Amino acid sequence: MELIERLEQVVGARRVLRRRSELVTYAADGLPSYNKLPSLGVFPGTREELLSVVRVLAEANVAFVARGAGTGLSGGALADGVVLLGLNRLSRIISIDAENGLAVVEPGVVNAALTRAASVHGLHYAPDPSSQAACTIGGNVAENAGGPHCLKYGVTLNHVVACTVALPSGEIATLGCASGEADGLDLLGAFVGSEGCFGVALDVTVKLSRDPQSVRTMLADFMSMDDAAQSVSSVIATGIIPAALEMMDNPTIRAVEASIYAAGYPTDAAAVLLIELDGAEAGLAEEAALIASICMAHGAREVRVASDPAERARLWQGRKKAFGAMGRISPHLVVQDAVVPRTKLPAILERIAEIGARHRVKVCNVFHAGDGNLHPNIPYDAGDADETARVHLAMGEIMRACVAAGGTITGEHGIGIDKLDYMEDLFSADTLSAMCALRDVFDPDRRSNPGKVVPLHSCREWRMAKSAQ
Amino acid sequence: MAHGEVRAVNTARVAEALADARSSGDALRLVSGGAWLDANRPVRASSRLELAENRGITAYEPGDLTITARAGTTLREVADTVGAARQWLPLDPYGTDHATVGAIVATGSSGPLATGYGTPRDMTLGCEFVSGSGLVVQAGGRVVKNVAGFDLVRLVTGSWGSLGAITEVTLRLRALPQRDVTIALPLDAGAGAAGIRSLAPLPAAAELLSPRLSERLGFGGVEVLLVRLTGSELAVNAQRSALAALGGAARDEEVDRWAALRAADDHAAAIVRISTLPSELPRTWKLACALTASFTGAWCSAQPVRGVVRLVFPKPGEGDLQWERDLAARLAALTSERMRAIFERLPAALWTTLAPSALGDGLSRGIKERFDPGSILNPGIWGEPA
Repeated sequence: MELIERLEQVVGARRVLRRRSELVTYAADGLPSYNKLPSLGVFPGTREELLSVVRVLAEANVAFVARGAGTGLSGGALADGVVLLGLNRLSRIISIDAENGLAVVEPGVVNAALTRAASVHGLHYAPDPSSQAACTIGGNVAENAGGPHCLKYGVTLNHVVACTVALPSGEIATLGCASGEADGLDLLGAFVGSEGCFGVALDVTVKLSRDPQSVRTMLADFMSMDDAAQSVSSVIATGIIPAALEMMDNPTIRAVEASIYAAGYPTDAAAVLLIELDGAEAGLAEEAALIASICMAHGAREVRVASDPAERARLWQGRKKAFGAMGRISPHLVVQDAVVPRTKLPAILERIAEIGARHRVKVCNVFHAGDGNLHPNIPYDAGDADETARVHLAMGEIMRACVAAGGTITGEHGIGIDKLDYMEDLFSADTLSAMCALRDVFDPDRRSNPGKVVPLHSCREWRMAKSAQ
Repeated sequence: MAHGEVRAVNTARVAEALADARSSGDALRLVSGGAWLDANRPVRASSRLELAENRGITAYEPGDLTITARAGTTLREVADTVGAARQWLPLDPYGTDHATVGAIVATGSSGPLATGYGTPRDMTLGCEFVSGSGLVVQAGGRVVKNVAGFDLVRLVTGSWGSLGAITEVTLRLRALPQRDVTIALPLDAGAGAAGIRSLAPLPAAAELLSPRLSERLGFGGVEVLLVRLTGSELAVNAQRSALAALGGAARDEEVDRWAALRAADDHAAAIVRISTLPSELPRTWKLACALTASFTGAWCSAQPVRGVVRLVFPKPGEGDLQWERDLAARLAALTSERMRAIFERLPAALWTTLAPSALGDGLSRGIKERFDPGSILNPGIWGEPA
């Protein structure tokens, strides 16, 4: 029997897409600059169907790429001539255990939908990527996604306690455990953030967090980027850990204010900081006052405190939709995700401005300043060959400057295909070999999201060394 | 000790020692501060690789709130260095501050502060290790957020030296809290567990002490909930009021109570942790108290927020042959689906009956085979077959 027929038997003919006109929908993710067409699209509706599909693909020795909502920012869910495994129909919240603060969900559950469902219990799911209105928990697990509130609450890894996984071979593995502590090797820790290369989650058990008693959201505006960056360092040094500490530069502010997401940011400011504090009501006002005074001491023009939930939501919407707003500037956008040690923030921002000016490209900075997690984005027109070349030169220089400052190339978006070229700038051949060895255990045939995360030749060298032993 | 010991003062020496072991086939017992030598399963190795002399802080920039230290650096050294900048590493594994950071990460050990600050899994940003296969791996990095590549840091954290010898670690720090308050509340498990989990924010630490442990630590032999609150003056005061509302006469205690609690299990013959859902904790606690009460000198403590109960059994009296058999029978009966036991320390003979192997699954075995194909690192520590 043909592969297509066998897949149709599992999920039904309507759920197997093969026409180019249908597949083109899945040719890109959140980064518009990469386009790869899958050979087939398969959309299982239950965990049983998903497992059967993985087994059919294993028997046929066919490679596949799992995809949630396709909001990723590293080209990680693109299927280049292989089978695309669409998981967004697997959107059931299987259970919420409010007493123990746990939820079991299918991989296609939308991040914000989980928080909505938990909110009746006074609980929420803490990791909040900017795409949370669309992105899925399965995708978040694959990328070990972050978000503004990860400064205080940690990334996806810190909130996932167990996963049931279909290994590429079709075997089922249960990783982690929902109660207390796990024993043995931390297989769950290895799986979270493996970018779809270690198999597909059938279900995910996450921790739910108690809603904070109180929240203060503040906007501080500055006439220089450096003043804003210095404020970030001083705030961190107080020992107060804000729930979020975000920075936007002038080009970003202008893009947001010109869009339907206008948040009331001052368009003449060189930079704004969006600072959120949460926790017990006691002491929160005093902490907010201290942080405001730090910003003022570093030259802030004004520190505004959101007066009601509506204003708070508006301030956040501008931040969370900033990438979208940049779409107004140019048809294409490179999005970067490097991280630097927090004390290096002022220097690296200066360096990024210098690199941008030298290559005549417009850099829009919108990022998680409290973590040192930068998002220098460059809007451009891919139809303009000269501009495209300059954009890529500038990006390469920015990435290498961040690595040289003791940083890393991705804080929350993942490597995918977008950052493959930088892996060897960051990791030694031995380290890349160790990553290949780990992948070998989960996916010996390299059928699960082939060609991602670790450059192919690193693994080839490793395999040669292994066979020479 | 047939072949004696090798001292390795830096990464190159560790790599050499591992290469020698690979070619000779003589397995190595990795030893750092020696705090966990009698923990986990018995190791079959003819030589010891001493790692404690590879010590010292390699990078510390207070503003980054991270520290990089060689594996043999002790908790005490880290605390002294970062304390000068009013920072701390909120990691307090049972035992003392002479434990080394390399061994803490290797064993994934935590203590009371895990309730508020997490475990080494949450704090280790990067590490360097030499794998049994000879790779010198720089896993993770030195920044607080990092998803570049597959997560080898998590893989090695808590792997008990079975995949590689850790030579350096980078850890996340916190600013010292303005206030650090310890309070003892005479509460039973039911009231204590439910009450403490409803506190927002959660305390830095909360430990239930069984009557025997309470007696031993000078709390008068009644069940006590020992709580640690950290934060600003106002926040801590608010938490204190919320605690008082749980009932019982709250009493302020010195912070060194925690050191005494951590040191209490020195020389224990068996330590078992039971993992349970927090909602099941009162029932588990009852069973644990009953079980420990029937063994001379044994006690238990629990972290109600995390759902972990820890049972500690001191060495029996001279010539008590029945003790091991009783312990084995009672512990075997305790293990059920919703109550998983993690054995921290056991008499050598009991491992095979109570916890034959933690590498039962194909993935774990595959990882061990690839990272340590010659099985030269701590063989037996997961109960893997010879």
